Amino acid sequence: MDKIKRLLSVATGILALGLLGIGAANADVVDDIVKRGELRVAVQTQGPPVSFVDKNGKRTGFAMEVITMMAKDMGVELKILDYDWKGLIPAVISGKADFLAADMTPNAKRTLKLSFTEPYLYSDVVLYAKKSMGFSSWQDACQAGKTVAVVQGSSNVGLLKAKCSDAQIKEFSGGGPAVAQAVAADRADAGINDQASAAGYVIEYPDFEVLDGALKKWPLSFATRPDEVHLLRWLDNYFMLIRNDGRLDQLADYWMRGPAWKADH
Amino acid sequence: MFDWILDFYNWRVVIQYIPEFQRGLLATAQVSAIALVIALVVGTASAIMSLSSFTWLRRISAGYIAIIRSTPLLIQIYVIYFALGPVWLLDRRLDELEGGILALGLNAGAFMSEIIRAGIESVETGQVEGAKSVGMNYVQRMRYIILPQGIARVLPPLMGQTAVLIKDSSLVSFIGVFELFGAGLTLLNERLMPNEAFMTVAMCYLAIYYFMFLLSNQVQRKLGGAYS
Repeated sequence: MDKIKRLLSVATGILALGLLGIGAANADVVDDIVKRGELRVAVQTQGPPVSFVDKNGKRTGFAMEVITMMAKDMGVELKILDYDWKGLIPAVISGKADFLAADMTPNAKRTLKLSFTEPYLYSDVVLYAKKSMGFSSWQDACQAGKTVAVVQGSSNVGLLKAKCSDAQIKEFSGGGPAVAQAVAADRADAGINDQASAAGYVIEYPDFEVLDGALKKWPLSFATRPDEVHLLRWLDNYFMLIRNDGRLDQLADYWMRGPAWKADH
Repeated sequence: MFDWILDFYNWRVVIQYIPEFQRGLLATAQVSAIALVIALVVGTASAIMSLSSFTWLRRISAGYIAIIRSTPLLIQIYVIYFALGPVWLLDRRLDELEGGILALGLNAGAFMSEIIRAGIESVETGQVEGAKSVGMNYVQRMRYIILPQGIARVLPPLMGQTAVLIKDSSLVSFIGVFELFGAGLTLLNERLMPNEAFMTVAMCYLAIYYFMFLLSNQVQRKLGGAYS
């Protein structure tokens, strides 16, 4: 009986720890941002081209340039909060960050917990492999007896299960670079990622190639806490503005639609 | 009755992920159990070697412990999985499960070796002399006199090291093994529910630890009753 009581008390302790992470809901975070003069944004430590540390040791990437521009246009300071995927969502839900700037894909279930902006970009999902494998299209890598590597728990896991179910699917935590490493070390026949990341790996590993055809186009969005209507409208409006004046396309061309950024970073 | 919990722990969603958590729990238990056996065997062997009168045996043991203790476990897992070529006897490369278990077992073995060595050294010389006087050889002395007493004394620190091993086992997800943390990550990714994901993982680890705790109490009662 005593043991059960002790166990219960430990379980309560764990739940209480979880409770600490909740709360911190303000009336309007946009007001707070203006008052404190600081925009707090959570970005993901994930590798090029969305957010990464370049060869000069500077944090940069598509999302970084967008939020830098944003803070400048808002007239406030920018504070970057850098998390890996596991820390990103808690950071936003707990109110540590005002919103998250990543290449996150909204879907029916995810949108129950966070509010997503209108997509700022649609990105092709492709497979990449070593040239020596002799694949031409992604369907060649999706045959029985082949292994395809994917970032553990990412949206691409479900995509592979739907479109590439004949191949064996191996999930690696540690993000896109860990998946590319698995392909390079012959631990998988192909890897899956968005076009921009795959283009980056081809430069990094010269014996890689991107396979023809896209499995899907993912919408990419930023996200806020579900009740931040003003902030969400502000972000949507901002994307509309920079889409109209061409700045969004300019950034997307440089970072997301090809390897142009590789020369400078 | 339990609806107030839903505010911060939505068990209605967690229930939908029971198959994933079951799969993860089983994998974590399997990886930890086999790695623990490897760790105990390697640790005991290394402890005995470190107390040997042959210099080269002592050097092998000291080298092994120094290498393992001075490098991070994640690097050890990566080296065994990515860098190791085809293995002798198997004639192929280790898969992610074998590589992960081996790395975990070798890692914990180094730490357990030092614990077990302390246990062996704590056995009184009178015990050894007594065993010699009734004509026991080296193997018999180790098997019947020294190891049972030595290990019984260091069971609590061994148990602590086992708890570390169980929690470290989540690192094998970096080489593609789907374990408990992977199950939590699936919930986090699909539903964006960090509380539900991490607390469920924590409670599963607690359950494994509690089971191990009961088991070690049993062992201690058995060994302690006979030897202390």
